[in-house]
Amino acid sequence: MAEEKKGLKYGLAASVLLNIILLAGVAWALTHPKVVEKPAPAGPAPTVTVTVTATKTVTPTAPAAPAGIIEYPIGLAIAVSGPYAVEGPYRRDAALLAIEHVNKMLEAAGSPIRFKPIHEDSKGTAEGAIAALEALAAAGVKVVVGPLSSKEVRAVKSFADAHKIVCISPSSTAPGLAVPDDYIFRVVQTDVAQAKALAQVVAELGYTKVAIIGRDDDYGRGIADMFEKLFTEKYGGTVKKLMYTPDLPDYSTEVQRLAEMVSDLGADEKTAVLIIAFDADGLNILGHARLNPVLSKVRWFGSESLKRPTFIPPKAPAEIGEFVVSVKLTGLFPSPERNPVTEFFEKEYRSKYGKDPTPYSYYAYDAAWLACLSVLAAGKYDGEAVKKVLPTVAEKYIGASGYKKLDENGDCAGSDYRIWTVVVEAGEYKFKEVGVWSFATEKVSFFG
Amino acid sequence: MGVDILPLVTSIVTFYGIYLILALSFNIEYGFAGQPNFGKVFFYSIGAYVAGNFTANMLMRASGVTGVDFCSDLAAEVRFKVAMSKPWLIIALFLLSLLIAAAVGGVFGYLTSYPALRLSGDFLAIVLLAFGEIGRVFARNYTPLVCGVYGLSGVPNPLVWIGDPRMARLAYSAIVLAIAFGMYLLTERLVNSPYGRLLKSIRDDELVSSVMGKVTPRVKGSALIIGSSMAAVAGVLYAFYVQTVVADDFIPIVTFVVVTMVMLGGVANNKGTLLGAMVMTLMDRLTRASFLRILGISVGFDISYVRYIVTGLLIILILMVKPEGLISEKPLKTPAIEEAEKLS
Amino acid sequence: MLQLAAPLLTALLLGSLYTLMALGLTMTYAVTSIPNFAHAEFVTIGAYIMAVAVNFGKLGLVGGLASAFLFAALVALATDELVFKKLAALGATPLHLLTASIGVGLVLRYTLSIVADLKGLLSVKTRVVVNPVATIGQAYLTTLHLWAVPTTLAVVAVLHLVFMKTKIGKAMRAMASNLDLARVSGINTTLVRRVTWVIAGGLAGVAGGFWSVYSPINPETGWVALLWIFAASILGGFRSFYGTVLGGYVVGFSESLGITFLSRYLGVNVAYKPMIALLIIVVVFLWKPTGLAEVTPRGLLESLKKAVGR
Repeated sequence: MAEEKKGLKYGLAASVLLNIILLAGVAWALTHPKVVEKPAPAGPAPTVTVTVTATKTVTPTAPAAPAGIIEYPIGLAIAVSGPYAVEGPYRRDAALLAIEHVNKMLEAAGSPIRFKPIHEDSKGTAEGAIAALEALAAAGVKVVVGPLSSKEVRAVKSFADAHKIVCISPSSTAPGLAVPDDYIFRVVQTDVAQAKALAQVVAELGYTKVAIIGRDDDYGRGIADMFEKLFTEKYGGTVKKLMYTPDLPDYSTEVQRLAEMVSDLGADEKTAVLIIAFDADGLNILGHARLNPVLSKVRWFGSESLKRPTFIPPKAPAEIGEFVVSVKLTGLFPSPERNPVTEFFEKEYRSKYGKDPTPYSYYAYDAAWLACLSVLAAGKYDGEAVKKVLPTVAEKYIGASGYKKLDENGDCAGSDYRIWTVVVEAGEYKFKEVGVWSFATEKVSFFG
Repeated sequence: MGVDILPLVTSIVTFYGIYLILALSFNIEYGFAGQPNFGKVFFYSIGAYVAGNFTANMLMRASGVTGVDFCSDLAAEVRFKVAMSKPWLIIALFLLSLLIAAAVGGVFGYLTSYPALRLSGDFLAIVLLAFGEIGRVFARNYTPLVCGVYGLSGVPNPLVWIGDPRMARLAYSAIVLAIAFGMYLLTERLVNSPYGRLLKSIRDDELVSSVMGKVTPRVKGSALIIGSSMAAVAGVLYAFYVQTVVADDFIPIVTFVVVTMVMLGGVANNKGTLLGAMVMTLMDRLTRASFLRILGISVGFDISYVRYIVTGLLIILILMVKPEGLISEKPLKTPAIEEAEKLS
Repeated sequence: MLQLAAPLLTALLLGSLYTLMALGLTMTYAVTSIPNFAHAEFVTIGAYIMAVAVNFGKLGLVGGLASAFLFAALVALATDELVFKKLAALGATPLHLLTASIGVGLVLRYTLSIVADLKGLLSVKTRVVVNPVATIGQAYLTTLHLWAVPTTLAVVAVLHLVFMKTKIGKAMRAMASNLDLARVSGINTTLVRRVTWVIAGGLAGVAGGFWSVYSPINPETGWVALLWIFAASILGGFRSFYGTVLGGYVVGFSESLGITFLSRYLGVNVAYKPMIALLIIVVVFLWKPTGLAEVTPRGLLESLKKAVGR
């Protein structure tokens, strides 16, 4: 008995100790943030031409808000673990930044309204996404930024419709989800446009044979299948596909197979590689490919997800930077690519978090802005009203990721794509714009 | 903007119901029969695949719509419409799914008994864990099953025809809970029957049981069949709840959650399993930022990671304070013993 | 033969790294009966320490690996002292310990996630350039091969000597085969236990360190590799040192060569790759319920003789 008591005591002591260690670690991290400049004062807010008609008729029920302040919750159903362990936190931070900016704007204007972010980790799974939405719904949330992936969006769709909760996904691109009159909005174009533009750019640059290495998930498959169809049917090209399972420790064997496929295609000046990858897998693949003589001599193209600071120095190792320059890694990104809001967002993001935003962070920032603006425009915190005004608000909005007009399905209407490639200028690695693909005319034109 | 407690209730009840069934099945297999089935998620996924594929196919057939891609979101809409207009059909499909999945799960459980009878504890756990991952990788590559990496959507709630989707969800969660509780009662009956005592005796000393003339491999195998069949039923309930079946949802972490529930609650004690499943469910649902907000607590930072850390600490703490689990194994309960207790 | 060079060289490197990761798992299981799911986190911690030490601390390769070893060893020792040892004293079964290790894993992984998130280190790679030193057709032998493979072999050789020649090594073997007997024979089990955890954690840390040179890492790196680590260890019988070495290379070779063959000649989708190592586990155990540890050269010869004799 005494033994048991002793064990119990030790157990408790151990857990307390573990807790202290843990808290110490967190405290250390909190008190030693990355060296950042003083947070910049609220700069120019995104170009907004919406008349803010919020009325005070709403009964304030939000807890913990100072007197007179009306607090509206904005749900962030953004996965930060599992497949989104690396990418998720970037997008969450962008959405948080947007809400902070909106609040600054409201405070400066003397408005009593504030937005309060509530983050739920949707884990990148259907079950996680549903659970996140249920929790948010219980807290009375009517406007949600997220979920990120198409499969999560698909899982929450009927729940969102039933509970009249507006979901604005910053990154779901599956074409099948284009459904009119639902509570799902997407501030990003579907894969169709990107695949179309990519196929055309690759063909017009004179390549007839393409080996694809891509993530075998809804994102990678969506682009790869569409690209293959268009490139073979419309341009008479040859495509070989290698789709790999995401979230594996290593991809060296896949890269070797890719090299064999490229050799089979001829590995000549008409052969190219198209990579569709996220962060961890993409860097792993590029790291192996740079050592391969065959893969080093053909041209590389990349999906929009490759246009990330992670893939070029100083974030990426120098040797990967050298590789992507030597194979002229080229890809597309929806435009208008840069505008004052883009610059403002990048500056703020960098100074607040000490890191560069990822491409989809721009969309997360805009999704959160649209969420807040739509609530303000609707004049009440009500899903149905927000759903009605959102398309109009979006039509008048230009954000960090460009013009956000939505089509009849509530998805981002097509826009032009800028063509980028990686260059070194004065010792610095950069994504340089070298051309444009016009959505209206479906024509490619290169600068200079 | 008020608090809307209904989705939270549905969420907790459904999650609890589904995981309770899984935990009970693991308790039968491990607690009573000594077979750590770490392939739990595999049998769970089988139920979901069967329910998804069968229901979606039948609804497509009933709709008369042809030429639509089975996996498309358009097809999902078609299936919802059919389910809305034909209550009897979707209910029949739900019930049939339960039956078919239980049978298919049982068959796979039978096949599993082959390695199970040859391997000892920890080896069996890892081999079955591998089973689960093999199943997932296969399902995400084999599109006809549940549309591979895209996932199969449009598996309607069997009560969708009620009209009010919120009520339909609530009613469905009640059904899940009722089935889970029914499973609990059945499990209690089972483990307190002569069969249950036989399982325990084999777990504690197989040699003695076989000397007593029992065919021990067959008995151990039967526990796996029952457990797998139950897990498949849980999978069906899950598919109709989330209304989307994605292969990549069935990752090993699901098994770990189930194992943790049983270990925390107390092995070989179904009341403990009830409690363990409840602890883990509430840990997951009530530490969320949304729930804290309902309570009026506002946190200034992202608590997602902190939640997982706290869950980990809680597991360690409970195991230290109550090494036997929250409720420890009780002695056998038989009519004879009960009578004897009354007398003394 | 030239065609095989590339997958073979990859397999050699991966096999070495998996072996290095799995050795510790086997040791802690053999000596303390803990199927430690938190072992993966030691790998991740080592990887992060290496990256931070080399990129920011300017410590160099050896210094980085040493700090990875040290830090991961400390964390491993701490987890045992604070959690597993107490639980074992309370009479926990291996499955209880496994559950606890899942808890420990959650704590370590997400503490690391918080720190990495705040520090902007969610994805990081050790700044050591890997260069090809020799190429055979499309295959290349890299500098990493020259560091990681000999390191693994040296570790195996040193551990062999430790187990065979030193007192502490013999004590470990004694504890692995019979804990009570070891205790009555006057072995300082507490000390042996500590040494075991230090070596196990340290080796995982070194493996993680190499991994962060090989590929960019994130807080879930080890967790993602966990199944492969377990595969290597369990194939070797889970308790056998030499079995684990064999298991590590079997996993590395089968996966790399296997998918190359299947994909090249049978047109099998490369996405099936993760199934290979898992299928091998299942097949090996259906054939030899105790894993590869029981497979000795003599045994193989005998079964061959029998087959021929028939």
